[in-house]
Amino acid sequence: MTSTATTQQRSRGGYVDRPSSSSLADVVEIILDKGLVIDAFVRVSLVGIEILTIDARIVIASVDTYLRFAEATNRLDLEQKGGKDLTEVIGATQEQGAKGKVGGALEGAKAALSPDDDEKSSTKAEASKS
Amino acid sequence: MRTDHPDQGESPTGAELYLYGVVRAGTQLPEGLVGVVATIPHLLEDDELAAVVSELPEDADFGTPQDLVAHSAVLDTIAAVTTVLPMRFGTVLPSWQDLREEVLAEPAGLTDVLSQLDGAVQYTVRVQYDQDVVLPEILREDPRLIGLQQAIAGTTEDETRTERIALGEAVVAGFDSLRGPDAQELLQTLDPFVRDLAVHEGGQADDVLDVALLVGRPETDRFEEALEAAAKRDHPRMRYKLLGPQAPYDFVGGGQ
Repeated sequence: MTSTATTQQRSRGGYVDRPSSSSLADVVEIILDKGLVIDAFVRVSLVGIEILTIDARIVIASVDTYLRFAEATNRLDLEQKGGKDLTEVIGATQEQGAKGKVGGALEGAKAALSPDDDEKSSTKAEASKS
Repeated sequence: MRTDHPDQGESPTGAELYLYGVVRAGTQLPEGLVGVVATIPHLLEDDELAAVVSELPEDADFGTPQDLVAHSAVLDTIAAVTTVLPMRFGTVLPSWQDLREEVLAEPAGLTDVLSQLDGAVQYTVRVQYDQDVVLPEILREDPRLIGLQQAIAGTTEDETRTERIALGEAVVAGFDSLRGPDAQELLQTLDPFVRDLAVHEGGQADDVLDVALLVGRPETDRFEEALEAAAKRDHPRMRYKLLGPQAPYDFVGGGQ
């Protein structure tokens, strides 16, 4: 690990992220199943690697992915509203309520009572799940 | 363990040999290499080829994530100075005898691959869209998506699951339609410096490109400059990550 530090050179402080040495996650993705094989002699135990590999290779087209990106647009929305005052937020919430005025008002009240802590923390939970 | 291998520098202990890769005989290994299970890698030479190996301590707790990182660190450090053919992680041979018979005995195939890869190194380039920049772009393209975004705002996942799935699916489709032209443009930019490439499929929806590139050693500086220029051009829509120089993991065959 430390030995690469000397060869992985100059960081240019530019627009390209250039890690000085490969992280475990990078290494798993890049090399775990690559390289010349002499079948009979490959002997790997790799405690704890399987989970990481599966994480790294979850394929994209799944409901979970859709939900994750929907949540990402939601977060975008929260961030954009971050600077506005509360009446605007409540107003926006009421407008969206296809459920009618009562639903909209209730939503608005909920937003007023619990600023956006709830929403933020649930966003975080989503993000850490993914 | 066999110990009946009289000639060249074999393991005096008869320990099993961990094999990182193969280089040409006469190669000088870089100093300071640290291998699997904190061993020191060294060369065992045959006629034309040399194996980069470590003696595995008996009862070593081998095959940990640290070993995987050490395997790649050893290979990448060697690759920075000379051509090395990387073996699949976890290749262990019972003895020098087996190593010679199973790996180095018919060097024609290996020397051919070495010749093809001589004078080149691998880089891995990953480019991802920045969601904060590109998501609004995708949403603006289609008023229907703004409607869905508003419909799910302030709701729980259970309340608007259908809308969320529709929105997410459309966002993923949006990324899909951006990716092709963007990836193509980047590959064209880099084309003058690239001898060979292997695109990694099956990434995340917001990936632009994940690709292994074989770059000639004389071209590495210009390649890195071209990549930096492309990253600057695409900032802030895309984030670039560069790994390497690396051993040519994607270009020795035997992969997936």
